[in-house]
Amino acid sequence: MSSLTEKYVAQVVRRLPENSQADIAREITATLSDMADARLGGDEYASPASAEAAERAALEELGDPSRLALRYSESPRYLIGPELFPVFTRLMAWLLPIVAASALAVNALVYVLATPEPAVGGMIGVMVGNGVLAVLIAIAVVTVLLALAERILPEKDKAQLAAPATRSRWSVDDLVRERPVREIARPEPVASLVILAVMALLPFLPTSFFYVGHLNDDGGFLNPALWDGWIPAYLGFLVVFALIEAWRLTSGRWSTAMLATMIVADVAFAVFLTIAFLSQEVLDPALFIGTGGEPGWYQGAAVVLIWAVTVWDQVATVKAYREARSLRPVERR
Amino acid sequence: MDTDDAATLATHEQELRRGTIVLASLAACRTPRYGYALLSTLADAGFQIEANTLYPLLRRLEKQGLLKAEWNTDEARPRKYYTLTDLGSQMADSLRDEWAALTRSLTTLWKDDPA
Repeated sequence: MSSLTEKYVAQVVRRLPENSQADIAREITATLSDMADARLGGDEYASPASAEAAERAALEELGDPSRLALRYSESPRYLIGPELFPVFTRLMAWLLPIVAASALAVNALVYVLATPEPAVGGMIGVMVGNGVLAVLIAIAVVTVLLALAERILPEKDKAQLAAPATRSRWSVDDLVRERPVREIARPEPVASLVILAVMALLPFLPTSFFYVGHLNDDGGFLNPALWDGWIPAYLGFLVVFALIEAWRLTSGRWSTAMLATMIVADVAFAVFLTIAFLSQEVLDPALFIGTGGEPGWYQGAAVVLIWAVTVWDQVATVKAYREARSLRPVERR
Repeated sequence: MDTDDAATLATHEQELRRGTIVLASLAACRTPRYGYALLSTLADAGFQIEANTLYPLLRRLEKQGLLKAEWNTDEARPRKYYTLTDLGSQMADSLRDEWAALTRSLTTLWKDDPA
């Protein structure tokens, strides 16, 4: 046996379990000799040069030792197989949004609590940086765990693990049990709730958060005089809106009562804001000292903006309501 | 047929052949054979199978109890001989029946539905 064959065999078997190494080494060695002999055509007195050429050809036919070793070892040659792949996609679809949302929320909270003078740029930096990291770690953990399961679990356990994701025992009755399709997709009210939470924070944000703390010694943006009624009323409106969104989230279906409630609440809020802007100094007057600007310049603009948003919002709401209605199956009598 | 179509055809042909290799190996091992002899027998019979596919397959069949392997050290070069076991023989018969049934079905299908 030449050193080439010896090296080749060593490279194959070192990747294999110990108890099969000797046996496979012997077999491959014998096979390589047979293959080389066949190439020499039974010529017992072949020259060393042609013998070496025959050996090389035999080695090349068996090919890359690492690939041959992979074929001997029965571990799968893929990370996650078809059996567990649905579990993988399911987990990703559920886990990643949850991880991303909680990472953003937790990091925002920690940043605000731990930083002596929080500012919007630093907060976004911390949220995005750590959020991306959290999502990447989640992807890595799910992938590694499933790749391990692919290699460790016996077939029937894999099938069991995959059952909830693939519904292997699906029957027509599942169609009957299936809840009606949501008319209001979940992300919509959830996004509204997030926006409402941000709006609720508005009276409490210090001006330093947006790098203008020097204007009023780190006060809020709103006129402190409004705390005696206007700001609590504003927060009350937000609570009402949050309840409406919670209703939309749990029900998932449009109703005329829902549409009416939404329109009434929206218009009432617009009227409230209009009165506030026209009768009060909404922003802290201290912000305008030294800028030379009139404190009142923004009020008209704010009212126009409020009604533009409100009208646009109602149009969108009515349109969504009609669309959902038109997609409903015609009820049989 | 462009290169993409040729590649598709090659994939389908490979799929078609893949399943037959086990049956062919079991059939060839009705008489004891060592690896290289088996490779030659299969090649002579028209089964183009690569050495690096066959040897791991033989080992797998041995593990499943369909083949029995024995080292023969009487000759100058020790060789591992594979022989069909009783279980392997039963399975080979079932697989052969299945193969024959498939052939019949395909023939019928071809006759009934002239394209």
